[in-house]
Amino acid sequence: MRRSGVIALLATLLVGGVVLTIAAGKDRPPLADSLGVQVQEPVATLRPGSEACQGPLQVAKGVRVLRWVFNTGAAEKPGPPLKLEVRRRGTVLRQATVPAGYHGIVDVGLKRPIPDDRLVTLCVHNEGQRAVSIYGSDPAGTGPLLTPGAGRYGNSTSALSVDGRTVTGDAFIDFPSSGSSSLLDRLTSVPSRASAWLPRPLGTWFLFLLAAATLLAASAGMVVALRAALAADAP
Amino acid sequence: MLAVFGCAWAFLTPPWQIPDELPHFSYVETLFEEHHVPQNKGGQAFASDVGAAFGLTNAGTTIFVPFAHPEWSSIKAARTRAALSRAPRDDGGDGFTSSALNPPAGYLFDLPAYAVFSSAPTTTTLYAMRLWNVLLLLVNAVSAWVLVGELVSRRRVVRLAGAATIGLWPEVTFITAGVNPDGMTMALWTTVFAIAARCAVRGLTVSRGLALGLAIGLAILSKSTGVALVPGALLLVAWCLWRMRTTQPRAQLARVAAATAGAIAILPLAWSIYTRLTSTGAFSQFGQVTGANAAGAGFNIRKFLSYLWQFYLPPLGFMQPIHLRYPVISDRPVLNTWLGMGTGTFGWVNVWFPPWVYWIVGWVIVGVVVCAIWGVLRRRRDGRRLGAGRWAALGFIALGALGLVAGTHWTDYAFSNIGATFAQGRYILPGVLPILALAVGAAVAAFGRRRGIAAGVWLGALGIMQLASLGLIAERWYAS
Repeated sequence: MRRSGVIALLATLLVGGVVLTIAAGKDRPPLADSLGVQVQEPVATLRPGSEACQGPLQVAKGVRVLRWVFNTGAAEKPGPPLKLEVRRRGTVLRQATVPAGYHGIVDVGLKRPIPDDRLVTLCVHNEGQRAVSIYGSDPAGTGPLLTPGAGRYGNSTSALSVDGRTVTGDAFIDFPSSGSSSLLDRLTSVPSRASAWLPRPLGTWFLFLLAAATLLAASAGMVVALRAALAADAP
Repeated sequence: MLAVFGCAWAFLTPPWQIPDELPHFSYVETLFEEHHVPQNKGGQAFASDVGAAFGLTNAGTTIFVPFAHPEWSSIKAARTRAALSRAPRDDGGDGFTSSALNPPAGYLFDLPAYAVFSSAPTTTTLYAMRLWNVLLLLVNAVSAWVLVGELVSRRRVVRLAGAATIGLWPEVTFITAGVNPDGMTMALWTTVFAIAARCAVRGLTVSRGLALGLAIGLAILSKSTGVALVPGALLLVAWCLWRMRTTQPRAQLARVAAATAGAIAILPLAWSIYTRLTSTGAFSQFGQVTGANAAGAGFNIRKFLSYLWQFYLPPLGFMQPIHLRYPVISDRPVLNTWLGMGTGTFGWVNVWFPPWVYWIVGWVIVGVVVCAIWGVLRRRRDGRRLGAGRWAALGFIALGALGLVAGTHWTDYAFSNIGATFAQGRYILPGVLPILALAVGAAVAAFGRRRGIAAGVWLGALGIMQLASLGLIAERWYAS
């Protein structure tokens, strides 16, 4: 009985593990990083010569493509030329231009990756003669205990400003990656992100260790507990 | 094993993403820094450090906006931690929060962890308190082990399956490994049931009566819903005394009765006197119910019965339909609220599995109950009856669970009068989950010589549920 019990446990773990792995292996849009903002509405309008900035931000290592969304409305005309800058305390670290004529999603490539070891601000400057809408979200809070629309919940750790004035809502900015796209691959970034608030010296290494210990507890730990229980019950 | 899972939950859940973690943390902070319970005097509710920590982790947005994520910049976190170490911690506790009127047991339990890390950054203190609370997960599982051993079988494999049901239940691990008194409430209810089972099966003594009474008193002081245990406890004690009447002298019976009743009353009474003297709220839930009723149309028995019917069954033609405000897996509250939220919803009740996961859990629970009943019937057929003590203990547990569910309905109905919603699955877990643990134990035992296989499958399923739940929150908060 002892052996068959352990085999049943391991078989259940194996089947469940395969199902979980398949579910986690499904392809999703490949992203290196994200602001956690959706494309819901225009959050700012840039007149000719105006500038919008979102920051401060720390982006993942190796990011060299910025995805913004402009003028998605059916009535909105193709966008004017733009200049994009990655800045740190007023110093331009990276720069790129977007020629006129775009509509909707715009992926802007940079020659070199954005530095990941400092806080930066991402700015877009209207170089044309027409206004352009920046899309993002300015969400109202909802939840089981809240009345819908009870409050507005833009990100509280970075802000969107137009010509130096902070506006409500956040710009949609994603950081696409050329790497693989399954959730399983993206889960590898979890320990570094989840460790941000851990007390030091605990860090990414600790969460990798904890993940290993958790997997061990879910397998070997259970086997040991079950074997011990079955052994104690044996006549 | 449970401690490892508890630690995983404590560290993986971002700061403040346990339901109402902010006001619960703030309660403990007020206790330690200002040496009193929150006053609800219309002043500042949260101390400066907590308010800052909440904003700088992007917690509010992450709670209420499904696509937002917690701040994960290591540079911002390092700067914030330094700033939080210097922020005032003693300028809150004077305004209304959802925890301000709660009884104090859960918060007093957290006090040592807070005290040791009181000079650390606020987020570090929070993690320390979460880790400390993992102890309650162990208490809960050990109590379940004792409970199943008393009422179902002393075989370890049966007890292991029952204890794991509580210790590895996703909603239990999530809530307990956070700063929220519901974790303590769940642990105390299981402990009360275990002690009651021992009293009923082995006899009531002064020490057992004291233990039972104090555990019930503590359960009331951790959450006012603990009063649901009192009627059953009084009946159980009366039944035990009646059984002892021929073997024990009257003086001994009186001593046992006095010890148990006194132990039940002493802690809630002391707390009531304290709150009366300091003009603070004693047990918020009662106030919430009366307040909500007063603000709404008042109590109406027909409306209440209609509400109750529609919670479990489709509305009948003559009933005014009551719509579930936040249906996720079903429009039927019994499924959405009890099954869905009771199995595992994370964050502030807004991180859910796909609906099919809850359907599977629901059908598995039905299967467990069927197997348990089959096992009990087989025992009877074999002439192995449960015995009066076990039936008495089961009656006590059923009465407690029923009282808890009824109380939650009562409050939910009162809230529905003012267009709000109250009931959440975790509120009934303290009463219902120990019953499931007993059913699992009975179901495993029913398999006879194959009970090892049954226990193995059950443990494996719980382990997979744990990993799936941790994967779900990792995806929601860090891989979006």
